[in-house]
Amino acid sequence: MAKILIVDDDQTIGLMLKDILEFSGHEVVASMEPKKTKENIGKHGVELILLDKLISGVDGTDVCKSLKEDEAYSHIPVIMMSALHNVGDICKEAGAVDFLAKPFDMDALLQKIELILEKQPDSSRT
Amino acid sequence: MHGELPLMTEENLKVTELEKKLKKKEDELERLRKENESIKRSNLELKEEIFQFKGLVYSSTSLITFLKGPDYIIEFANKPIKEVWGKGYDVEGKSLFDVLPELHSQGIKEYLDQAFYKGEPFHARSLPIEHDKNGEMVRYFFDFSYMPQYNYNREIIGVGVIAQDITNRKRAETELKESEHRYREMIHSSNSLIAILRGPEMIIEIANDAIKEVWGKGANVEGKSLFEVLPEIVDQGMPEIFRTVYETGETVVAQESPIMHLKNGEMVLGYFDFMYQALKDSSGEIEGVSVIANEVTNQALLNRQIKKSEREFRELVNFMPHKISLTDTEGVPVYYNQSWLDFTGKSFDELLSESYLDMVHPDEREFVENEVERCLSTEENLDIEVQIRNKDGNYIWHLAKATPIRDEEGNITSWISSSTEIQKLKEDEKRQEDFLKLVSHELKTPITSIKGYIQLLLASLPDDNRDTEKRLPIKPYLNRVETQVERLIRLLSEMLDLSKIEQNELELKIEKFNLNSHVREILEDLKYSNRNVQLELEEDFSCEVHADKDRIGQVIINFVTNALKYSPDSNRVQLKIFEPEKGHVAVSVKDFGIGINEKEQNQIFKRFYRISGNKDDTYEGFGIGLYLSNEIIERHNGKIFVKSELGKGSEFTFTIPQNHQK
Repeated sequence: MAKILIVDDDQTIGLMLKDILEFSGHEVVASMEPKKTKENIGKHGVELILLDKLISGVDGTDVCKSLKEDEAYSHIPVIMMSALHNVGDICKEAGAVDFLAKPFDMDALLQKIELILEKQPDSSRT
Repeated sequence: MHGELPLMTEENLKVTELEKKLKKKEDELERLRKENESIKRSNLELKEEIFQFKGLVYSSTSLITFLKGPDYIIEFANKPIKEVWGKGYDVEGKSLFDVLPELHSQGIKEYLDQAFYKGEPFHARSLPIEHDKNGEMVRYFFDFSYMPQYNYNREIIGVGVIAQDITNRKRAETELKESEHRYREMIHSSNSLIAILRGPEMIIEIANDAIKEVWGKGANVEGKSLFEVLPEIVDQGMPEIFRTVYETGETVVAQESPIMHLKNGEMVLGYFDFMYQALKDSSGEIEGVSVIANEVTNQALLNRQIKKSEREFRELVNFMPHKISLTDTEGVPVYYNQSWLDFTGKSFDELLSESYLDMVHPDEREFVENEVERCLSTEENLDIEVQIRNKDGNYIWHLAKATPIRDEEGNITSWISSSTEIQKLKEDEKRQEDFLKLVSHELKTPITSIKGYIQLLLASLPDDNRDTEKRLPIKPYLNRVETQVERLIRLLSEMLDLSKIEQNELELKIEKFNLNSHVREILEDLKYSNRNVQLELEEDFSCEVHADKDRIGQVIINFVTNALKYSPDSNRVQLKIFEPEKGHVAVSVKDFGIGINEKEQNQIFKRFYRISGNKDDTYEGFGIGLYLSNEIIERHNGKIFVKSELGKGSEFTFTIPQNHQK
């Protein structure tokens, strides 16, 4: 299981994701502040990020790009989410490893996370 | 006698007597000789005279003949008369009536008899005589003189005939008369109004029926002055016009000239095309004025009507808030209405001197130019949305339409175009679409949460929970809630897709994928959520396609969910993948449900159309699934169609090219 950071300004979604992921055995940190992403990663030893595309006026792809451009964080896989269907490509271009269109299937989410974590070379999973 | 004295003897006396007689005879002989010589001389002179006279007669161009005795035997006829007779030159000694039997019935003998028996010369002018020329009777005209001929004893022995052939002159005269007659006839029967006026007083010499009718002064106007007949035209400037023509010889032409004139006793306004021309005699002196006119009242009234109508339409076009323009057949503007001038702040001439493309938003110029070119060549109507620059330099959305104007033969003479401002409409539309997007986006967040929790609950409940299930069937209830949430999600995405089509934002993400495995995957998912349904797949053909994977999946899901939706009493759906033609692939979905009647088959691909039926209320959806599917397939350059029979089921098929072409 892994330590997952959820960045979404919508508390409902954040909570729901937290509940699902914790139910599945992951450790979850939920944040509503995209600008504190790097800080949160460092503080909590995050292994995977679920990042909303549009968070209180901040474009998630910019957050994703800045992570990918920073060597200290570039190795951490980012899954981006959006209620818009047709932005998957933009997110992937920004460096996201996968994209989830809202509303998503719980099984699909968990499966994606499972697959991504499996592929991580430096797995710190417990 | 020598030496002897002459003796007066008896013998001597006798001799003397004889000598005297001889001398007398000699004198007489001398006189006779002289007389004889004189006679000889006068005979010769007479002969010469006759010869000269005969020569005169022969060489005369007059027709001359001498007819002798009561049988009118031709004693002499000169060459010209023989030629007119046409019976050869050897006619002397024969009777005139034997030579020219055709004369018998023409009263010629009576004229001759008058001269022969009564001794009265007979003169005739322009006497018609017909001569038989090889069986054809040819009419001649002659001036004749028949004169009795006398012998030495003053007895009539024959008739001399001198004639002039005036046939040609006569013919010319007749022709002239006929021509004049025809000319007058033409003038009188003409529909044009014709009059000929003489002298400075404009005396009416000729006025035809047509002009008399318009004048309305009766038939007897000839010989009177025009201004006496028509005093009403005096104040209308007519005398000045006539005077100018009469004095200067200039031709005056007037078109649609309004003239008040009497008609059936009433003054009426008529319109006439006039031509006043100077009439000259053979020496070039002006002797009068000819008037040729045509009444064009109807035409003039029509022209005025057309002008009025044109003025009204021009006002109308200028009053309209729409921007109206006219272009020639090449698409070059020739007219802009007031609305164009107001909008652009430019003058009419400025607009005409510029290219209309300059007013179009730079991003749209190429598109507009292409569309205009296309319409000009295909003769189709133009119908585009375009941004046009106003006088403040802002680009404003317009709906621009153009349609060709054709003549009676169907040839395009010009194009009329109308541009209507739709900026507000566009903005409203955009707001509406944005709102729709926002709504569906905003709705998605709570739905995502609801769905997540339902799934979390379902996952957290133990599968084997029979005891609690009996008291509290939580899982079945949650399943139902989940189904309805799924339905809500589907409706939301349909709404979003619809707004994308409306805003032309439905873009395809073309990728290469295996159609067969994609269909299989979709079927697996569908089977998962529709457990009681029998979904069969027949794969006649297998291929990779270049297409939008998600959108194609969407169409297949739409076909299958429709098949299930409209098959309340059947749960069997057959899918088939096949190759309808080389380079294309087709997917068909067949059900055994209620089917669609023929009339509705054409309608179902339209927006918001829903199949009507007894169980209408139970069919969910906005009715945009097939409309969306149709859009998706069309954007793939494919085709979508349906085969159906009411009560037996339907089969929906789409075909797409295996390689997508833009």
